[in-house]
Amino acid sequence: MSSWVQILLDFIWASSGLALVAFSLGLILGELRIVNIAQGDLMMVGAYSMYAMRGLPFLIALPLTFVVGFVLGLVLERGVLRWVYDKGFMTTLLATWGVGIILQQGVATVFTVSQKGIDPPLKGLIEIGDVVYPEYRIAAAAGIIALLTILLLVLYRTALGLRLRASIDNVEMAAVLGISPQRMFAMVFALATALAVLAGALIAPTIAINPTLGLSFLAPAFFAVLISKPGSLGGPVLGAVAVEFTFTLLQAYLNITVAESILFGLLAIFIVLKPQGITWSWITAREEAS
Amino acid sequence: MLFAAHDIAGGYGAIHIVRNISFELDAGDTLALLGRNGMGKTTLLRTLVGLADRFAGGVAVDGKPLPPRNPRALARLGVTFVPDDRGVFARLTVAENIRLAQLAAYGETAPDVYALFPDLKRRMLQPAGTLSGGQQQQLAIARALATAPRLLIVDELSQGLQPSVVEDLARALIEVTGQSGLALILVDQNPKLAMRICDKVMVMQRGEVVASGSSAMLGSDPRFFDLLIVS
Repeated sequence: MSSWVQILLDFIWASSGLALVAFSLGLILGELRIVNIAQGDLMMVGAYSMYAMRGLPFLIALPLTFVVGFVLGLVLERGVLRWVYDKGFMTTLLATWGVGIILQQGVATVFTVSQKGIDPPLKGLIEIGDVVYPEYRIAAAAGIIALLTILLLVLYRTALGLRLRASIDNVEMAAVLGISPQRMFAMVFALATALAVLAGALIAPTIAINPTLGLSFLAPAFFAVLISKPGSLGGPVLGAVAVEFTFTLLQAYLNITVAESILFGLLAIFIVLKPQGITWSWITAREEAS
Repeated sequence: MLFAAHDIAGGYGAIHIVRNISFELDAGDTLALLGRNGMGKTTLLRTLVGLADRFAGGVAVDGKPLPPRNPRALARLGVTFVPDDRGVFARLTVAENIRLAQLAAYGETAPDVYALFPDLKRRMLQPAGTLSGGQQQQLAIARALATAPRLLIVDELSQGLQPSVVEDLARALIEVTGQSGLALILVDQNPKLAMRICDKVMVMQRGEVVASGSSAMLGSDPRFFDLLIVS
């Protein structure tokens, strides 16, 4: 019993962080049609931002990190991506890869490659039956779930969200209806960057911080996006839950290397068999009802 | 003068498709743009609304010149467009497609589009991508009208649609243009339909206008239909 509670709590914690990254990746892929290889490195920037602001109270540093991410996203979109939108898939892929390398090297130059760490703002432990679990992980997971709920409500229940979804669906017709593609691209990329940075900031107190930390999150986040239907905004969140659920189960019985190998093998087979991803029925139902 | 196009040359990238095209429209004017396939009608419409490259000439609304490749600028001045693929937002519901247009409305008095197309009201919660071709065209026209435009530009109104649907769409356009002073530019492969809806006609061949006049005058000229026959 206690081991299942532990597994459940680990699953909630890991899937919430992955869901935030997958959501941000899906947002960029849906709106800009770009695979952002740098998304993991943006998480790394978030972790280092928290390390750089470790003297500040956590609840002040966290929103500041979000602002840093938003501004960084605007700079990257205006300074790099807008010049390569019409240059084809490979060019945009290489451009974001280049951005990732610059971010890694920049951080390594400023902070060195030695591992860093920050203390969680909540150091207590919660007892659930026989299981003792860190308070911070539960609070951070709850915060991420609340944030994702708000983001999905904005996307599906507000005029801004309607404009954004229209722009993802058909950017040309959205422009005919007065929606600026340039403004929407910049806003989406900045928001998605800020969310990835925020995810890194929230995970930072639970990991060893180093310049390549984003790599381990990138592959599962991509799979979470790929197994959901193209253009879906809620799909990557459920994709992340599915990926993490499978991984958590595998990890419960196997060592991490074998579990990862089997997970990615299963996901690769799934994508070959179902390249259009899953139409998550409850999201479709919600789209129909909204 | 509501809308003026002067010496327009347009196309895509290095490919010039239309040239030397000029015309003007006042409020309530309805213009049918006719010609065989591949004569540049769609490219002309897309150049006018800013979805294709404009190499020369000018487009003006209310005498104010508009930049090329900027459909938003036209939207802000009450010009809207229905492309030949209908351009509905497939993942959005019918109601969301209409709501989006209402958010972008130029004027305050848009027609009741659900009264014009009652079938859409029954399908408000249905994703637009799951509608039939005729229903998607109804939605595309309804969405355009929901922006309360001053000029509506429609590419291929009747393409691939059954006659009863085409008749409903034609009736709706005649009703709205007759009542509200809405100007219309219509491209259609069916000249009789287009000339029933529109008072004026322009015929294009190889990217240029080769005949123009009132629908009544050109329609009665025996040489007119020769211009539209595939040779």
